[in-house]
Amino acid sequence: MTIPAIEISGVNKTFGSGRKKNQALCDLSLSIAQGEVFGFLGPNGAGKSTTIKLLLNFLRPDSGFLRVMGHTVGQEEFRNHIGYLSEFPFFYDHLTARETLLLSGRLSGMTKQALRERIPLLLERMNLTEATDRRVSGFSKGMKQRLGMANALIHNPQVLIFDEPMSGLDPLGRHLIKNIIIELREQGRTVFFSSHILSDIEDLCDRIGIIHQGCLLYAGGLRDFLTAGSSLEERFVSIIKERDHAADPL
Amino acid sequence: MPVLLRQGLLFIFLFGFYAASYNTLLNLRADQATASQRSVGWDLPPNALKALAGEFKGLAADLMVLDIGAQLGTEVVRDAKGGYRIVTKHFDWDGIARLFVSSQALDPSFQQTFMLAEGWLPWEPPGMVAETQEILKTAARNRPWDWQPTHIIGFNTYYFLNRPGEAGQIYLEAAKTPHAPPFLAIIGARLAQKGGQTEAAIAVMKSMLSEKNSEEPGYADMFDRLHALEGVLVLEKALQQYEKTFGQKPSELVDLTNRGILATLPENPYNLPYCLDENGVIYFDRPQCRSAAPVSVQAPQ
Amino acid sequence: MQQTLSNLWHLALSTFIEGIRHKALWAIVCLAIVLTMANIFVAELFTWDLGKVSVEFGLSSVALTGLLLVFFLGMKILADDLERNRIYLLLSRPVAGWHYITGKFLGLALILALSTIILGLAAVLSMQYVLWQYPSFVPPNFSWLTYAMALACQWLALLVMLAVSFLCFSFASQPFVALLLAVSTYLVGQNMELLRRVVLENTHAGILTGQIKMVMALSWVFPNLSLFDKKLVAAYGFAFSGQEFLLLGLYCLSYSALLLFLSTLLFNRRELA
Repeated sequence: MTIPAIEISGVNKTFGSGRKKNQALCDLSLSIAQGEVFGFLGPNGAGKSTTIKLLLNFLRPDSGFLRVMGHTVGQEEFRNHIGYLSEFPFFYDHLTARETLLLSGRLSGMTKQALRERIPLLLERMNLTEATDRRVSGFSKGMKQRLGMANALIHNPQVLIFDEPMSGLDPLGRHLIKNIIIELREQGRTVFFSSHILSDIEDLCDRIGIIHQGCLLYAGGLRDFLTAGSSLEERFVSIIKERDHAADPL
Repeated sequence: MPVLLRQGLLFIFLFGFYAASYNTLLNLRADQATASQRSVGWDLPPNALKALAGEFKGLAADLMVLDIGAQLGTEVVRDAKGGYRIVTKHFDWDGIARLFVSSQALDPSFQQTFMLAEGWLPWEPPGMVAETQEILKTAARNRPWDWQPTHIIGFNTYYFLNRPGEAGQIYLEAAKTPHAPPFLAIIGARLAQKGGQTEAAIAVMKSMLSEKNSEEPGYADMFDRLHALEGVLVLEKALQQYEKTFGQKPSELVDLTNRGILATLPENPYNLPYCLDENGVIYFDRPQCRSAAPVSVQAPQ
Repeated sequence: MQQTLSNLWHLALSTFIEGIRHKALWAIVCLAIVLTMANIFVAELFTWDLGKVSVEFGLSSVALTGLLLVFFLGMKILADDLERNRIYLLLSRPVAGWHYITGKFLGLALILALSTIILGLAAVLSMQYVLWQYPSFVPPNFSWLTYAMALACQWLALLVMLAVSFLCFSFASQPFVALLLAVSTYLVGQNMELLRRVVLENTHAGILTGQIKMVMALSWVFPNLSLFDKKLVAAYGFAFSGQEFLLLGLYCLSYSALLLFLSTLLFNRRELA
């Protein structure tokens, strides 16, 4: 039996204290197998970004544990196995696209030679060849998002974690990212991405998880979630509503 | 009304308001500003100043000395006929003396501080000789390579305090400083011994005058003193000549001209006759040196 | 080990490049030109000790610019890393907290070294002019070696301040609070020696009487920045021994290392939301 790419077990996370206490995640457990494309769905503020930040050890769980490729987050070094694209990628404004990728690649332990070959390839794939030696401060939102994608892929990681990868992209950019996720699946990589754009999830994912107010409502195959004839959107809205009624029966 | 015009009018109104209020404020300050108020800003205990200046103590000391320099000085007032007269301003001398001390607390080695202090404080007004000597002593301690502070202490001791013997010792002290000019040792030796004092005094005056700007206070006084001393020296030499020729001392100075040793008596810049007392000492500032009981004499002001 | 060194080097290098491409560096070059010109005019205002005024002014301008760089450029880069989540870019890779802190510190230290050298050289030019114009006002023991050592001390003081701002940043959640803490520490640090002396030598030091232990404790906590202030020493050509210079270097190194260590501890506990 192979180890899961991502394993989240019994994770709780609260922010603040006292009256302002806010439960961001309650007893979240998830397991994502290697080679899967997993879509993480939920309305705004549901806890998607929190989960991802916990996976990257930017936040620490109150209880429970997270593992990436069998390495426990926060205890063992796991970050070589993951590529991460944040929701709003910010870069050093005065570095060029090439320098940004060079820094990331070197920090991930790649050699200069390997980077010399890989950077032009990636930038070309992201339609950024023109911008190779331009400073990031002059980039548009979409260009930054694409550079962020190149940055996540630079060291060819096993597991990719994307936080809202399509946000701020024009239709061409979205098409590009979609194709990349499909390519990654073909290469046998694991992709974990959050989104609230249902059509993207429908097109790309093998399995999905639905989170609302910090609680996981569903985790499993996309086909199993869709009952005959209904669209993802209808099912999504109905499961969220069900939950709200259960919590607040008025 | 076009937008541009409206904006222009508004700008003129706002600018006029600003100009009027700012100008009124400046006028008010100009009316109030006196020398005593100007020194107040710096008037803090030395440790507080040090704390405020932080690592910029040297710069703060520079700035204070510049401020003192700007406060001091005589004012030239033009009159209607096209001429001008010099008005001596009334200074808050205590405040200025404290400024010098404060500046020295920030940078005890700065030459500008003690030179400027010497240029103003010991003279009349304000006649703060003791305060000046303290400033100079601090400078001397903090400038071990420099003969000047000690040299000036020696000068003040001679000129203002009228203690030639002590001044001579101080000059000898100054002469020990590396690179000190040789005349210091000569002056020191002569002042310290009895006799030969006139030449030493002339050297003292000359060395100080060479450093002094003719517009600074005390310049004219020192210039007169130098000439008076030179007159005394001429008379002293003539006395020796007289004694050699006639085998006895003259009883009065006019004997020197009557018996052909000198063509005329030298001029005394103080418009007094020189006077020869019973012991053969010549005075430029005591015309009744023979008859009157000894009077304690200060340097003429 | 090799990966650690490589991480430190690349973090430092990218910080350095980011810093020098910032407009701030051009502002510094302009400031250097203005101050060089000013130096000549300022010295002309004085009658005596022109050499001292010129050296003092030159070193003071280095100090002031360095402080501005630490407080604004350095702290802005740190604040942006945290506020704009740029730090995710680095910490989603195998980069330890202390790599990040130390790498940033080294990069900013390089920028400070560069600006100290630029301003120091500009000051040398103007001083050379003043000293050449008024050779009689050159202090007799003046030496360029002492000047270079004083300049290096200025840099060491800036490094200490940089380490202080790192600690403030790991400590305070708001950049403004961090800046305030760093500036206050600077002011206290400049006067630590004065305070120590007042308490030790003056038995009637007002409210400080009897607080010797407290003041001594504080003097071990706060950086003693005035020890690095060698402006008057360089200006008058006073003796400045190599031994003292070496010890100042060690003091700077050990104190900064300690602060960076504490910063890392705090930083590692911090959640990057």
